[in-house]
Amino acid sequence: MRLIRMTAIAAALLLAAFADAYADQPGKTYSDAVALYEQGMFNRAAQMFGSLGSYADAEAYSALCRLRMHSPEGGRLVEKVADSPLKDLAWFHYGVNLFADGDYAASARALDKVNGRIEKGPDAAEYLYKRGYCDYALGLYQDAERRLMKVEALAQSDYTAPSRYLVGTIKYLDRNFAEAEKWFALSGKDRRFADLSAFYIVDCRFAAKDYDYVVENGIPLLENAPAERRAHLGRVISEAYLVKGDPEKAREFLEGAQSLKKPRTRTDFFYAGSVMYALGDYEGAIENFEAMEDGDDSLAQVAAYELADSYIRTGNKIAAMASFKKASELPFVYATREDAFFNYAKLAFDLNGDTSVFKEYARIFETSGKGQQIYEYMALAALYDKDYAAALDAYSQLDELSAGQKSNYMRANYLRGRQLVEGGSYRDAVMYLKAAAFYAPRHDVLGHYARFNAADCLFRTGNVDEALSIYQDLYNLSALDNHDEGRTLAYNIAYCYLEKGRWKDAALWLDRYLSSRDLKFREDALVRRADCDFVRQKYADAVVSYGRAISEYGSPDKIYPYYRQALAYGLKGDLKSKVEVLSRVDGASPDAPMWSEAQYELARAEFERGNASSAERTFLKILSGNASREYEAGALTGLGMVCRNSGRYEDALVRYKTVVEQYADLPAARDALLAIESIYQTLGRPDAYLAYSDSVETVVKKTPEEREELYFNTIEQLYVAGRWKEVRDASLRFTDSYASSGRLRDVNFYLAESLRCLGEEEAACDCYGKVFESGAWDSFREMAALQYARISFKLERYADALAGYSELEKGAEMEQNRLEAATGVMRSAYRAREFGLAAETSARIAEQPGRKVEEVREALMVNARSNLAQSRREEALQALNRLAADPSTDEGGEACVMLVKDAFDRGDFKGVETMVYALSGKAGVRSFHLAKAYVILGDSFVSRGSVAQAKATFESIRDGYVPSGESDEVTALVRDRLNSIEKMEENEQE
Amino acid sequence: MSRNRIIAATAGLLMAFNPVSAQINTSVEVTNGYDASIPDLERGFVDMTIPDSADVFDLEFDYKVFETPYKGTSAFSPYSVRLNQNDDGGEHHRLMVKAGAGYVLRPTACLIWEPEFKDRFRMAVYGNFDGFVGNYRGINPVSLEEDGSFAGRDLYSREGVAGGWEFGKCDLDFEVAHSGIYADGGEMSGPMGAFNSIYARAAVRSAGQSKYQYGFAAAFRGGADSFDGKRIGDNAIDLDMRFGRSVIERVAVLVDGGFGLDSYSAEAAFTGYNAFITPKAVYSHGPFRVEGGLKFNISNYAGRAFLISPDIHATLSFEKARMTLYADLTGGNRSDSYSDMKDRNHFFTPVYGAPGNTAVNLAASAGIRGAVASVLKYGVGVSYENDRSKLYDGVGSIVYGRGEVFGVDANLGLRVSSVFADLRFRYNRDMGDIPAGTFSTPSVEAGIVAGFNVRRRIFLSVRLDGQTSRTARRGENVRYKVVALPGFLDLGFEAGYRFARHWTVFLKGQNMLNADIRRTPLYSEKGIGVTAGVSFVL
Repeated sequence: MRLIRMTAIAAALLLAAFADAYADQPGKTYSDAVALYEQGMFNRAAQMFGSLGSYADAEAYSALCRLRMHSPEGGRLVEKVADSPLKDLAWFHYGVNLFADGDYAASARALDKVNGRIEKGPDAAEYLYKRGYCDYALGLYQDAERRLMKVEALAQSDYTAPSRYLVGTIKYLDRNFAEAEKWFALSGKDRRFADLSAFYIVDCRFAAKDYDYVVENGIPLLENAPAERRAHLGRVISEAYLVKGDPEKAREFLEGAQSLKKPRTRTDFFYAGSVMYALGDYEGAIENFEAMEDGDDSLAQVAAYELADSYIRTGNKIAAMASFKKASELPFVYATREDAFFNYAKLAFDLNGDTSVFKEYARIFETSGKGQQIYEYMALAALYDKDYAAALDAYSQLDELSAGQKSNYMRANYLRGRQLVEGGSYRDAVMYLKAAAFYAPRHDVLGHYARFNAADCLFRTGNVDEALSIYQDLYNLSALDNHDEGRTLAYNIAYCYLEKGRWKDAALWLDRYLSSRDLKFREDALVRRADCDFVRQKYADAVVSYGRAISEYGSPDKIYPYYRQALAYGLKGDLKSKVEVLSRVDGASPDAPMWSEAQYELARAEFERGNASSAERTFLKILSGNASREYEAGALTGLGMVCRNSGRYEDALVRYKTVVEQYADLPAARDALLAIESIYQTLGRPDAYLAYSDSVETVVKKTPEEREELYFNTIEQLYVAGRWKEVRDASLRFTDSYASSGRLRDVNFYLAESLRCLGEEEAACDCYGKVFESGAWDSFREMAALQYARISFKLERYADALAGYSELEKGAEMEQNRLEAATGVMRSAYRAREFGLAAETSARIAEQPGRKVEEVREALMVNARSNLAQSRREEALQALNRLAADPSTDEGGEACVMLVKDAFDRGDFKGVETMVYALSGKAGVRSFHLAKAYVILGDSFVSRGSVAQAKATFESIRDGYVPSGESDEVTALVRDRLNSIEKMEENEQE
Repeated sequence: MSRNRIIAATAGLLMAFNPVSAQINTSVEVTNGYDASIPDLERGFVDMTIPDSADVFDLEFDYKVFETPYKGTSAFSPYSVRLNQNDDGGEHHRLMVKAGAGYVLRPTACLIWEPEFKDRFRMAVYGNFDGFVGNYRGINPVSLEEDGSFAGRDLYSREGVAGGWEFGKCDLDFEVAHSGIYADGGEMSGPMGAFNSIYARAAVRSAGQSKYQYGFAAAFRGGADSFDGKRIGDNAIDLDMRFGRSVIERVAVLVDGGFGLDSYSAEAAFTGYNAFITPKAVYSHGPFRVEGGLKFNISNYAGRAFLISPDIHATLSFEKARMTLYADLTGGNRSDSYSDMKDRNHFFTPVYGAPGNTAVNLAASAGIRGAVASVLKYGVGVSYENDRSKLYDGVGSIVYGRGEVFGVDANLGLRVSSVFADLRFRYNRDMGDIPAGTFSTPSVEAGIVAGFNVRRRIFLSVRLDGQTSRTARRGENVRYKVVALPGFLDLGFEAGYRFARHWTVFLKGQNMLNADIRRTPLYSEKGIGVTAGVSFVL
């Protein structure tokens, strides 16, 4: 409801009028009242006007007096004056009242109702100033400035200085600091604005980066400044000192400003953080930078960068990595972004083994300079993990290697070569060993080792000439004299000559070796020495040489020297001695190498000596032993001969026919057929021969396809019997003879199997590969895939292994193979650094029902490591925590160590302590894992500055820990750390 | 062993079974052309060892950042100072002391102190002293012609405290004062004593927008005088109230009421009272507003008397033209106390008669008032008053009788920059007879006040008041059947010069025309007066 204004007729109501002394002279009263009004005695004037009723402008003056006394009824009072010439004055003073109350919007509206003539009157300065201030308060700086400049144009008044001050403030807010300073200099001449103007001049100079002025002139102002201004001034001076490079002074003034407890803004925290950082108070820097609100500006970039460095210095690498990442994502300062990205990449690799960030860095930025460092870091990290292949891969990206890098590179090559040699991958190992030798100084022991082992690999892979050259060079250098390698050089050289058929040279070197009295290969050397005589047809010398071997190492089962000596005797024509020698191994086991050969030679020798019965006995012995088919055929042929020579033709025919029928694939069958023909001819029964010949035609005279089938079947039978050498030989013959056979794949499988069982894994892998990569999926292919994958994995050809296992997993029909394939995929993917696949597969395996406990553990560990390599720490920690539940296992113990390492990387040193002590209290923890955990604990002591405690920890490990083997790295880790501490202590003493 | 060597070895083996051997007979000699090869060459290998030096790597991880010297935040954080604007420009002075004297001696002194209070309380402590010490024109009380002069004095002071609170929803006023009049007209006035009166008033009224409006006021005045050794006492109490409420939109109801009691003790002592109640309604719609009701009065002066008079006020405003038409109809009683008489005429004594009650049957006025361009203010109106009992001045007496006056008012006000002028003009005409021996209302009363200031340092104002003569009718059997108080023009001026921030010297001129100014019939200050003085404000 709109309320009616019920204007009280105040005069009538409240008058009880105490009439003034001159009630009948209202003019005089009015004049006196006006005079009082002009003199500023508003209260009394209002009373006097009030007694005059509506005389002249008494009502208006009364209202005006009340306005001048700042009546809260100003809004009503101005309306009362609406019809009076005092209206402008009333609005003016009402506006002034509102101005004094701080209601600038209302004040502006009220002042706008004043006629413009006021700007030419006595109140012009006040009006323009206050109206201008209203604009200023409302943010209308242009209008404010326009009005205030009018004040400047008026004569000097009480409002001149405030107007100048305000103009200066407007210029200041507009960042026109030079102009602002001029105005503040003017306003500063007024005592009322002296301090404030001086303050703003300092602020203007600060904004203009005149820090010397700020320091020189700002400090004296601090003393008398009110609290809030002191806070701002203190901060300004502090910043000036910091820019001038005096962080101590900067902190002093900053603390003074902060003590005034002003609410702090984002830039305040940034600045405080910068001061702390400059002073090296990294904890303080972290606290302040972290308190900054999130932002994406240049401040955020600098803050993130310095925050990251602060975290590094306080040991929290994980937080440092996050901060570097943030700084690298902001584009403001290129150099900062680039360096932050680089550090982020280093940390990602250090903490998680994640190389993707390095690759991203290389993609975005130039790889020269820092790019080289990337690879160096990758190499170092790989060496830490004993991943020599990765380390070499990284080093290969470097254009030039420094001395230290060369040293590392040489060692990495050597160790990589060793890994491959251990896996049987000799071909691949050669390259690394040669590289190690290349970077080693000529007389470096490691270089000699590398060359020696390279020569061994070359020899194994058939590069005899090159191997020989290296051995000779080493021999000439007297390399590795006190080692097995050096002592066997002559032996190795001799073997090279043996391979090359240079018997004389071989004999020479064997003599050298034998004269060295080295026992390692003496037995073989003696035998080979005799062989050298034999092959040179120095049978007499060969007899003696073999005799030496026999006298030093002879035993009935070591048939070879006896056999060869017998041959030598035979070739000398001394059949008696031949028989005698061979008789000495008569008691050898039929499984002994060369037993068949020896028995056969014995039988022949006996036959030649005319001891047909002994020969027959010996031939029969061959048949009852474990002889190969050739020797069986030979024995039968020999028995045929014996029977024939002794006139037992039928027996001879039986023997020969057996050869023809059962050994049809061998050349002996044809010889036997001829012998049968001869016998029948001798018996005068050619028709019998013809009949027999017809009957065996299909056996003897086979088509190429039939012969091929026969070969194949033979190979199969040998395979089933497990006679690997024969399988190998026969298969090789088959593949040579029947290169386009449809059975080739199967034969290759048998060949591969035989090579595998004979230990020739590289060749076996090649053969499996041929089977696995062709044909329909059947049992051959499945087995070939399995073996291919297994051997490739063993030879550390992980990409090939992964391909094999992947195919196997897809196509395997046997459940067992599928399970193994899955495990193989996991392992191969991990070793081939396909961490995504490894993580996925391992996660699947860990949850697969039916898996053994140890398989699940392995899968969890692979999962953890793979996730770490992808910087997926949370997933990795989940897996590690599962494993750590049982620290008595290898994986569990390792997981515990990794969790401790995670706490260390996060700078949570207290957590490290807690975890390590908790681990030591658990039953079943292996000492290896416990020791590694204590090493990390020691590292955490170092990070915290407790070097003495760290040293004590390492020493206790050194003294109390028993290494579990040659590959136990704990000893090396502790030794390195103690050495570092010693160096640190020496440096401190210096 | 290489494949080739395998093959070679195998070939060697097979050659053992070649047809030559198969056809061996005992007579066949074995030749020495034996196959020159060594079967099953299997070399021994030394296990690959890792020398100590192989395991020693130069491993060092470091994280370095380059220096990032602080270069400033590049963020401008302006510091804002809120200027304390709570000043009134220093123009509300709190203390004024003014004193002056001159010739003819009209001493003047003034002290005003308005202390500052933080809340909405205001107060002024004041003291004024004015006077005249000098010669009066001698006036023949019969002919009223000037005849010689006599020495006299008229000293008047008033001091008190007045103030109030503005609470926002209501205002409170108060005043406590003392006034003293010491007038001595010699033989003309008789043995006058000093008149002292005290006055106290308090009032409260509602303020601001509200459904309810109210107001209450109470005043007391007590005076003491002596004449010819006899004491005169006068006590008056006045109570007034108002209460109103908005009923519906545009309509409100009001009730005004009042009670006054006056007790006069002298030779003719009496106690009289006045009371009234006025219920009325208010209607407002746009520019039109009317407030009207009936005033019911009762008094006991001259016996109990009832009086019903209108109380109507109407206005019609034209905002754009800044003009208002008004019309008022009022009436009612007003007691005239002894103190009021003394204020009106310092030489008043009980000889003049007993004060009584003014009863207005009807007072009507209508007119127009407005402003032009915030420079000029004007007003023109007519008025009519019909009194049942009206105070008339006689020669050395007062008379109450019927009265009827018609009047025309005009006023003009000018304010331009630091120049002002106010002109008032009134024409009166007594309708009908006035009591014998009493003076009529002057036909014309006019006055003008004008002034200016230069930069608020030099002040000058001139005042000119005047009125036409007033005549009185005497009885039939007297020599002077009609006597007249002459009309007069009272010219005065005041000039001041603020020579320092707080100091001003002033010069006042009174009765510059040396006119015979008889505001009261028998007293007229003689001579031009010039008073000089100084004032100090703080």
